[in-house]
Amino acid sequence: MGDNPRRSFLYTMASVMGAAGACATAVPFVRALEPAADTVASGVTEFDVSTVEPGMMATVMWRGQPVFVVHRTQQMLESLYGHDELLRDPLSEAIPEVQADWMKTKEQRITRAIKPEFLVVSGVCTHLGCIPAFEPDREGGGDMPKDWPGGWHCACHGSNYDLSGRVFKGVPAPYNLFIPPYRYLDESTIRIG
Amino acid sequence: MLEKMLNTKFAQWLDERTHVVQYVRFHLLDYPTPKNLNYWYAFGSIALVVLIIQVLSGVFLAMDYKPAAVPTGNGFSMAFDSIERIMREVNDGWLIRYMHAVGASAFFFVIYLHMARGMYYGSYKKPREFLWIMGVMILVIMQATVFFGYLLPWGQMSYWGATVITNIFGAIPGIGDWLLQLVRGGYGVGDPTLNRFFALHFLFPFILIAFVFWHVMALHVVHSNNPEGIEPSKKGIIPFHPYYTVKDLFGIGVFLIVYSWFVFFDPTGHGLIIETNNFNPADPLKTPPDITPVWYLTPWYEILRSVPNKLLGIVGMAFAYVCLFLMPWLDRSPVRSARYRPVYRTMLLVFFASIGVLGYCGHHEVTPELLLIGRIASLVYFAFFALLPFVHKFEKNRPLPEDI
Ligand code: HEM
Ligand code: FES
Repeated sequence: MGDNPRRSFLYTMASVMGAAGACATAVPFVRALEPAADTVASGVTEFDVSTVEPGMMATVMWRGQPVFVVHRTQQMLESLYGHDELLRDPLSEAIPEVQADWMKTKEQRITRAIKPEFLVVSGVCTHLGCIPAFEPDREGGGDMPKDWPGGWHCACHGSNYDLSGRVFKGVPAPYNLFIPPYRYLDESTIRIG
Repeated sequence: MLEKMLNTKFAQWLDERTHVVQYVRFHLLDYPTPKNLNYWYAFGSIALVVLIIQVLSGVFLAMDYKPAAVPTGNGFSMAFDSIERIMREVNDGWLIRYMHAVGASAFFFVIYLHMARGMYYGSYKKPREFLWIMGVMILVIMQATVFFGYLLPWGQMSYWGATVITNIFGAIPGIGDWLLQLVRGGYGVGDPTLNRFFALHFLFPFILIAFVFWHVMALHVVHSNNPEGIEPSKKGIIPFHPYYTVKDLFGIGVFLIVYSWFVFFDPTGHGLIIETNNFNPADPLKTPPDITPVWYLTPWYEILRSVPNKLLGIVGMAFAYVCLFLMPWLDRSPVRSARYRPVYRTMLLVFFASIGVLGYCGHHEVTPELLLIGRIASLVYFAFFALLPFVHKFEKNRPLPEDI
């Protein structure tokens, strides 16, 4: 049977076509697993950042997940300098999600905000997705770096971020907190998404 | 009586058309077994019973359960409310739910002992390598099944456990993000996730049944090993029935007593079987301080957690399973049973202890001390497999007996 070249050619062709057909059939099933159109469409949120008191944080829901808005004081902004060697990615260069197209100067890569006083970052830990706790005044030491300047601590597996959402070294989270796409509609209203 | 039933005209008529009598004789009655099997060998049959309990209670739960995360009037979700309705309104719904929840823990308890038995008596070695591999596959399918099932009540632990575990897919380089959305059906864990998890939780047990069937078929090709780990002579072989039907039934009876005690007197197992925080409805804005999986998943979770790097942690966890798969080829000693292998026996007991320690650490919130202990236990876990290929070189076996 196998020694008839025409027949074995037909077998090969039939198998290849059959396999191609099976792959093509898999496409709609995989596509059905992807987020549905209405899920994708539900991703725009507006928020007035001036409602956040200095030194405080608000949590805004965007795409069903939290976004942190922090009104940073002058002192908080100053706390962003001087611990670069403790950070994994001090200038937010690792992946596109930790950057934004408006992030041009070195200054902006450190403050990570369109208006430095108002930080807008995703509230999802880049390790496995817990929501880190806002701890602006917590002392370092213990399970934290000794001179931790304050920021977020994720209790799930112990990741730490500074007040720009930049991740510290030696913790499981690989990246800085993501920057969601947002812009200012007027002086103080932002549209996320 | 059984003999009589198999000899009726009807049974004979059926046998001529579909061989039922022959199957029952071959797989249940005359099936040859070593005469020295102890109660460790009952856990296979017990696991079959638990599987039946799970399917039965699960189908009845599914009749009243609603897989929707959409909010209801009281601010909870349809899913959470439907579970509460099963608990309060459905006649004996509480009993069926607790049978199912306790059954899940019982299943893993039984399977872990079943596996430990196989490791202790060297049952993974030639010619039973494939039997062992299929067992590990069954373990993976079981873990997937409970993972899907645990989301269904839509409590705090359901939600956050699923968030953390699905995020593991996101760490795979290149396709991670796409895969993550594929699993969740959205940007975070939400209504679409709950829906598909319910469908999968319904499907997977049937895949499990297919594998269990294959597992038993493969066993009946290579036959049971025994505590001595040697090939029995003809004198050492007895038929399965009545010897082991009776012995296994006794084991099943003891199991059911313990199981029922939990169902009726401690269904949440003090937070081990149903975690206390899961009686709170899911809140996407509030991560509980200590997200830990249920006890039977914690050792693997702890391996993940003890590596301070996302991708490597996941690789480590996957590798823990790979080691189990490779066990038949890592161990080169010609002797099977740990009874005659003093070095292997000690190593194995330390290995079991490391899994216990990993499980304990994985169940508690991370502290620097626990992190260190977890890391040491992870090292011990892998060291066991790393040393396995070399043990036979220096290990002096105790002399093997002539026959069982
Ligand atoms: C293969 C064995 C199975 C295992 C190990 C398993 C495991 C689990 C677990 C751990 C839960 C969460 C328990 C809780 O918090 O109450 C659960 C819930 C559930 N399972 Fe299963 N399951 C199995 C088979 C099935 C089957 C065959 C069905 C249906 C056909 C089913 C339907 C359900 C339903 C409706 C729930 C939600 C109710 C609840 O949470 O009490 N399960 N399962
Ligand atoms: S999810 Fe935040 S540290 Fe793991």
